Amino acid sequence: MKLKKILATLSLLVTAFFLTACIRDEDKITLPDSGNNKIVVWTFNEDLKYMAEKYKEVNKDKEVEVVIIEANDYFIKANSALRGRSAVPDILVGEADWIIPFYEAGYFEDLSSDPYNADEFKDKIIDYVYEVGLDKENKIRALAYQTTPGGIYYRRDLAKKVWGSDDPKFVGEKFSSLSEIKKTATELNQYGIKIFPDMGSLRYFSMGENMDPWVVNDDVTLSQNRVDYFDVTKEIYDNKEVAFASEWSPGWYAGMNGSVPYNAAGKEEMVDIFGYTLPTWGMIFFRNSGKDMSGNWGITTGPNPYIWGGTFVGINKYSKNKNSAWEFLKFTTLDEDTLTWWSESRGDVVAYLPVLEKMKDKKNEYLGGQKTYEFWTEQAQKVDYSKVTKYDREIEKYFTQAVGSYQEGKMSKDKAIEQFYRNVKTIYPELKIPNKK
Amino acid sequence: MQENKKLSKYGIIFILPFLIVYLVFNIYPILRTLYLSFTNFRGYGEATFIGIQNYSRLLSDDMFIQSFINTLKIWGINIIVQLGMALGLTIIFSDIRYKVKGLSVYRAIFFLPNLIATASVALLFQRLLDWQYGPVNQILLNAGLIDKPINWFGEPTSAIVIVSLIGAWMWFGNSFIVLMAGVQGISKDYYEAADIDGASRLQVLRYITIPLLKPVLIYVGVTSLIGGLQIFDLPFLITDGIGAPRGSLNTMVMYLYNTMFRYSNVGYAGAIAYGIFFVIIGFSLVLFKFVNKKGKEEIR
Repeated sequence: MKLKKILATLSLLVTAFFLTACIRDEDKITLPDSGNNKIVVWTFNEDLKYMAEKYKEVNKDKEVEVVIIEANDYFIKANSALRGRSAVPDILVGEADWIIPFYEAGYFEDLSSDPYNADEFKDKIIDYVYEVGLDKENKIRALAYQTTPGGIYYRRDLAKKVWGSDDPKFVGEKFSSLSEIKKTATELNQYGIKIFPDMGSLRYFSMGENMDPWVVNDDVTLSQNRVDYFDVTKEIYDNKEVAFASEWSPGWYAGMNGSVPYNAAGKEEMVDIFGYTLPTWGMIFFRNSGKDMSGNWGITTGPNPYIWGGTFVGINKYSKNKNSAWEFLKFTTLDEDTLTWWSESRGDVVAYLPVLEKMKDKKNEYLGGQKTYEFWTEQAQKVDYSKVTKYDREIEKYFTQAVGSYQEGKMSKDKAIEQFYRNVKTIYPELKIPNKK
Repeated sequence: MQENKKLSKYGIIFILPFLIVYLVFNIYPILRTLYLSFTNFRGYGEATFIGIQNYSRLLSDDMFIQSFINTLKIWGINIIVQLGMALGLTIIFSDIRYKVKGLSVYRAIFFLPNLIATASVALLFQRLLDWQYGPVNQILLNAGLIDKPINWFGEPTSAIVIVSLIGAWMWFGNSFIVLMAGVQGISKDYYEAADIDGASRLQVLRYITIPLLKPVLIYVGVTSLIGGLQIFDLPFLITDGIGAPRGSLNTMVMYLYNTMFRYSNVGYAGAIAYGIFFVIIGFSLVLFKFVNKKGKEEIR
C-alpha cells in the first residue's frame, strides 16, 4: 500500500514536471518552423558553404542549401525576392556598406526580441561588428562570424634595406598620416621602390586621423583632410611614386611575389612594391600569389583604421523556418567551437572575442612570425562605425573620380570639388551640399 | 456561322499563352514603371505620389544629359565602323569578279565575336589594353611606335573610341550576314548587264548595290540605333561602374541601372526609363522621316 502511495506521488510529480517543462518550452519557443529541417541560405561567397558542411557534420538530421550569388548581383536579387515577401531564403547576408537599406526595408528578423535575445552576446562580439548588425532603433538584425579591419601589408626586406628596421611599429610611423605617407613615398622612390601598387591603395586614408564622416546631419562634408588628400595624392602621382599596377590586375598580384615591370616613366625597369592596403582577408592573396615571399611580409597600421567587406548574416523576416535558421545562425556566428575551427582551418579573423583571446598569441609565419590575431583585434577595436553612413560607398566613388581628374591635370582642384558635390547631389538629392558648390 | 465561332474560340485559346506572358512580362512592367515614375519609391517602404517632379528633375539632370551625349558618341562611332566594315566585306564577297570562295566559313568567323559573352570580352580587352601590363602597349613600345605606354582607359576620348570599336568588332559579323542576305536577293542580271556595259566597280556599287540594298541598310541602321542607345553591358563592365574616366562612359542605361540598384531611387529610375524611351522614339522617327523623304524624292 505504502509502495502504491509512493509510486502514485512519484508519477504525479513526474507528470507535473513534464507538464511544467512543456509549458515553459511553449513559452520560450514561439518561432515558426515548417519542420522539414531544411533551410536555404543566399550568400555571395563560399564561407557559408563550408560552414554549412560543418553544420551538417554536427547535425546529421539538418539540411542546408547554400546558394552563392555573384556579389554585385546579390543586393538586387535579394531585394527583389524580399520585396515580394518571399519566404526563401531563410538566411540572408549583407556587407557593412550596403546592409543598411535592408534593415530600413525591414527584411531582417529582429534578433533582439524573444526568443533570440542576441543582445546577450554583446560583450562577446567586437564592438563595430555588433554595431553594424544594429538598425536605427538599436535592434540586432544581423551577426557576423568575421571581422575585417584593414592595415598595410609591407615588405620586410625593403624596410630593412631603406631604414634598417622592419619592426611593424617603426614602419607604422612611416604611414601615420597623409603627409608622412607622402614623405615615405619619396624616400622609397629614391631606392627604386614604389610605395603602393596603384593610387587606389590610398583611398582608405582620405578619412585621416580624425576619421571624418562623409555625411553629418544630411550635410555632405569634405573635411580638411580630404581636401589635403587631393594635393598629397597628386604629388605622389606626378612623381610616379606608385607602380601603376591597378587593383586585381596581373601586375598587382605579381608585386606580392617580387619585382614587377614598370614603364610609366618612359623606360622599362623592374620595381618592387613596398606595401598593399588590404584587410584581414587580403592574406589569402599573399598566400596564393606571393609563395616565394613567405616570412618576408609584415603588417602594420595606416593613418586611420578602416574596414573592408565582412559578411553579416541574418534571418529573413518572412522565413517559415525561423527556428532552424536561428540554430544555423548561432552555429556560424556565436558558437565558440565553430569559430575556433573556422579560425584554425581558414585563417580567418573571427568577431567572437573569446576565440580571439584564445588565438591572440598565435604567430603568422607568413608575416614573419607576427601575432596577427592580436594585431587585427586591436585594429577592429579602433574602428568607429558611427562614422559610417549608407551613402559612403557611392560618395567615395565620385570622390575617387574627382581626385583622379585633378591628379591627371584634367581639372583644377576647385573645379573637381565642385563637380564632386554636384555629382553627389545628383545621385542623392536628399543630401545638402555647401552653397555655391 | 457556327463554324466561324468555333474557329475564333480556338484562335483565342491558341494566342492565350502568348497573350498572358505578354501582359504579365511586358505590359504590366511598362505600366508599373510609369506609375512608379510619378512616385518617390526607393525600392522598399511606401511609394508616395509626387507628380511630375521626377520628370522635371530629369530635364535638368546634368548626369543624364551627359550620359545621353556619351551614348550618342559611342553609338555614332560604333555604327560608322560596324556598318563600314560590314558593307566593305559585303561588296568584296558579292563581287562576281572576285569569286571569293568559302563564304559560309568567313560568315562563321566574322560572327564569332558575337558569340562571346560580353563579360569575357570586357575582361579580355581590359587585359589587352592594360596601361602597364597590357600586350598592346608592350608591342607598341617594343616596335618603337610609342615612347610611353598609353593609358587607353584613362582618357575619355580613347576610352569612348575603344568601347565603340569593341562594339563594332562584336557586331559587324551580324550586320555582314544581314547585308549579304540582302545582296543575294539582288538579281545577278543587274551585275551581268553592268559588266557588259563596262561599268566600274564604283558605279556598280553606287547605282546597283547601294540603292537595292537600301531597305536592308535601313533595317540594320534602325536595329543598331535601338540597341546602341541602350548600350550598357560593355561600358559597365569595362569601367568602375560609374563610367570612368570622368564619367565619359556613363551611358543612359548605365545611369538608369545605377539610379535603380545603387542609389535605390526606383521612382526616378522609372522617369529615366521613360526618358530613354522617348529619346529612342524621337531618334527612330527622325530616321524614318529622313529615309521616307529620300525615298519619295527618288520616286519623283
